[in-house]
Amino acid sequence: MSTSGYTRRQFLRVSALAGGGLLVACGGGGGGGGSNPNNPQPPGNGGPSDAEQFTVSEFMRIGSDGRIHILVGASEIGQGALTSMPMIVAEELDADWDLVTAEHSPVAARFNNPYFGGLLQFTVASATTRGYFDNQRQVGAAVRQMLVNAAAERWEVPADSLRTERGVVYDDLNGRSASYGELAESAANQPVPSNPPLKDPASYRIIGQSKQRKDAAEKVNGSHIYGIDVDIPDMLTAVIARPPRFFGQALSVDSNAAMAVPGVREVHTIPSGVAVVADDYWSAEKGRQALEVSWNELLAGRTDSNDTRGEYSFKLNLPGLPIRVDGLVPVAQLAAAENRSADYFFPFQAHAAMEPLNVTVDYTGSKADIWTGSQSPTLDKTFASLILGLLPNQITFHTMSSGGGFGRRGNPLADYVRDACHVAKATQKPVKVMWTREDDMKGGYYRPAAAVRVGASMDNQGNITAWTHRAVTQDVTAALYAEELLDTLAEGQLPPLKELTDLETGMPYDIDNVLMDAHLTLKPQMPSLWMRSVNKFTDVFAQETFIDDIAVSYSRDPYQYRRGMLAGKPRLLAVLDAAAQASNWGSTGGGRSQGIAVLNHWMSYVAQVVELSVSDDKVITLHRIVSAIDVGTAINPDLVVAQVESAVIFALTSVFYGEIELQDGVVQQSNFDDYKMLRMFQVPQIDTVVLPSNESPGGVGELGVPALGPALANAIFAATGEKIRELPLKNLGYTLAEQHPA
Amino acid sequence: MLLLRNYWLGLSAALALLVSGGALAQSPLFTPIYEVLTHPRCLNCHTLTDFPRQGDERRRHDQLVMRGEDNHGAPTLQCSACHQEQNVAEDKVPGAPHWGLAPLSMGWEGMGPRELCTVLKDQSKNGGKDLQALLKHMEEDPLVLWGFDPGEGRTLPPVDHTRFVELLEQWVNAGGPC
Amino acid sequence: MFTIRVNGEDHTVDVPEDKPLLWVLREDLKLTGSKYGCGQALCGACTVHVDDQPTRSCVMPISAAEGHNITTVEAIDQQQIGRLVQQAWQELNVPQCGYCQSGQVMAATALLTENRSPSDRDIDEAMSGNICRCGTYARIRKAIHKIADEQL
Repeated sequence: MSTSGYTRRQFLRVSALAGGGLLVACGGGGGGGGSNPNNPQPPGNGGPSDAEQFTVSEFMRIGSDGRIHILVGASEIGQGALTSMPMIVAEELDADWDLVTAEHSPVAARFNNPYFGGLLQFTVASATTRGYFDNQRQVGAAVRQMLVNAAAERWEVPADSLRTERGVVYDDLNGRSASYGELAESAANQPVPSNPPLKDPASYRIIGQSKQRKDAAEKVNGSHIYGIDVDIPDMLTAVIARPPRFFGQALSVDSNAAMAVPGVREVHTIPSGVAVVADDYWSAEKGRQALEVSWNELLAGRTDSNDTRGEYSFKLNLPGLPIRVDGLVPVAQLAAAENRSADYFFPFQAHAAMEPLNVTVDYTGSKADIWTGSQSPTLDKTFASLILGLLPNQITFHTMSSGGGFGRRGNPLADYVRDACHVAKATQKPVKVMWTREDDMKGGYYRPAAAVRVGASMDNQGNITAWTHRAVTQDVTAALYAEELLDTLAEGQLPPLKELTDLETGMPYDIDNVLMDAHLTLKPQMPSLWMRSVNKFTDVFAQETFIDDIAVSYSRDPYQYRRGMLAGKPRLLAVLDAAAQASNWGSTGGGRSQGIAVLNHWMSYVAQVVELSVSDDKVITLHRIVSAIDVGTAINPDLVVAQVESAVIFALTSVFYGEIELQDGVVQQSNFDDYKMLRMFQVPQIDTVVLPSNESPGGVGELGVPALGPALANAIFAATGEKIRELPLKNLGYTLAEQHPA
Repeated sequence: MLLLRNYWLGLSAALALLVSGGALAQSPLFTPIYEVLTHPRCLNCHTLTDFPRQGDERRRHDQLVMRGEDNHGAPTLQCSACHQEQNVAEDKVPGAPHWGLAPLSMGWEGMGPRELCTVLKDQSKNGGKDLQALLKHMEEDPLVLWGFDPGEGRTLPPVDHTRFVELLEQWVNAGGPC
Repeated sequence: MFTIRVNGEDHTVDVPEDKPLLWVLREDLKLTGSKYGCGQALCGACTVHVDDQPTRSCVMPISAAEGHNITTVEAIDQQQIGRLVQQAWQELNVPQCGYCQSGQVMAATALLTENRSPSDRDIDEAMSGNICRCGTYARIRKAIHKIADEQL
């Protein structure tokens, strides 16, 4: 087995297996495969088999039995990355899909997402498919070519006389064939072609098919291993007592009572709090309850929701940092028949993923293994190496499937991984750091509060001649530019600020004069973070409800009014028309009202219609929610639809209930009783129309979130005349009806 | 906002009480008992609805919890799915033996003292209990006892259990006047 | 010491009497299919069957679990309806992050065992104790109806 040639990089190592076979595995660059040696993967997901396995290029292993195991650089957070990414590879590879399995890759540069300049493995911004699409196709096509070349060599025929289908290379002229499994060993020695030909989308047979999720079986029988399920020998469990206000410091600790709890082993003060380390979770939690800590809160956060609202409302009056400037807004305003504006306010919100945060660290002083569900393994690992004093290649980072992410597990500051590393460093024993639901709910890194002022100028026909949009919110991406972080990124540059901050609302309408500006407030003591659809949730809500405000006052149909301003945007028009058609726009009766909203972002397009009725006591009955989307090439249409359904529910929860309140720095919510989630009995009929497209794939995970709120608010406006200018709706007295009353 | 709403809820409840006859002359022996029985700790499960309520704001129980045929929940979402024989999770989850709703016939919501008193004594509605049996129920039933010791974070009825039993004894000894 | 019967087998564990069943299952018996989500019976991720009734194991003290038959998601495929639920969940791509699905599967299996043709209202009443943050509710409903319509 050769390791020479430009194709064989230094991270390939050859090791003899006990059984006498040869395994060529990925090594170096941050550790082996993502599987956990103490939680062996169940069969069917890359588990050990008797077949020999060959690493063909650095991204997959092909067994002599034809099984193909693909390493995925993106994180599985529920969106289906471990299904859709291998589908892309398998398409170009012409693999037999039934023989394909996948797992998370090691944390290594070759698995970085091209969308982030190839610098990070970072599963945020709906960037997995659109970031990796070309690269995964090339991987598949390259390996296919290597298999073909191996067959050509074996049969001494020209490679271009061969064809491939479902994991087999055919030599039709001579009536012979060889499976990928048979060819794997010799294919591994072929040079990797640099520019393999890619398929014409017309000949796709995997991409565009609604395949079943590869992880579905394990996720319904309890065998799927999440970070919280990791179990390694002699592992201790820790919980951390944290200050009541963000960034308070432990001043003095009385651990006597805590240490007296059976099972409690150690108590350690770490930068973020005091860790109670015990034999098991229950002992640790009881130890924490017995712990007495006095906190130094001199530098602690004192954010107060009411004060924040006042401060932001004031800043709406001041010019901000320009984000988009088209034409001459002041001139247009002077010439307008009418100028109007509206102010909006949105609260902090918690991601509240179902799996509370947790990290397991096995640190020995000279090396470490880390297991956690993460959307940001590269930066997590970087911080871990800083705290543990290890080189990156001394750390094996096992990216686990996340029990939900929504952005919380993609913290560039790696808060929960840093905490766990501090605990591991203190205890020097294998330890799982657990967050309770309360820890998670009160743990900060929320969707930041925001205020938005939108303004419009109209001629006397109600045509919009100027548009202004001012946002006041925390800059959740400033952290990426923190100096210390830059120092740790040895090479390369971060993407341009504009791309990361993403404050452009995507205001799509044909308006000549546009001024968008923003105040990016810095509140270092109020940890905030992106949450599914980031600022689109707030900005698009303001924009799309204000459009209806104008349309209705000029007696224009909200759908037609939007149509009239989207003449040059065929893909937006198409989703708008599709949503209107699927929802029978304008032809509902029986006290039902509809609202519509549109959005183009993440290279994708969505229009949503909410149909509802509102009782006199503000009980909202949701009748139907229709989404029409154009996401370019839909890799797995059923999973695309699933993401939209998911986003609709996620948005409904945010719109009706989503609010974290702070009083003098103290978070008031703690669990699902005071931070409510939509439940089964409140879920309406949800229909999703996917428009066919061969365009490049766009983002899907967040697409269904931002327009849902304004579509809903517009329907309430249509039903009641009430203009919704703040969220959540519970604060305005609205409740959700039972879908199927007894 | 929330505080304000609770204030209004409280005020309107007080007004409703006035209108429904709470302030009208009743048996003075029953009036303090009435105030206990209409406290949320009792009333939340003595509902006239097909579901229980929770909290001092008496919101409809989350999770679409239902009364069910035997007053212990939907067939596969029983009260005992969550409620243990004692409070758990640092009192966050209340519990007592045979946790469940009182029968519909013993629903007291919206009743003034006279009506509630009458219903309470009506053996066709109260499970065939005479005054002595009622007293015993109020003295010993673990669910009743829970109401007077509901755990951290829950308001208490206006009098403690010992006093409540004294008041009941006086009322029973007087023949249960309404 | 407590002896509990889980998935047909007796297990004796030396744990404090207030340790919740969930953590005994996960830590002492290494059955990690039942998940921790809230610790207050608010989300249903920890749902197991106790004498065939869906029960939130995160609030059930081990002392209360003695003497009962406990079934976890790891053994629900021993029941025909459990298998059907697992199959339908896969066919319809119900799970997303999947973290709540052990609990959903346990709740749905109990529902369909008790009621072979549940109405939408029945589904609401049986399943509203289980939160899914990924919002797979519509597919859960569809899967339950599919099993009832086609297989029961």
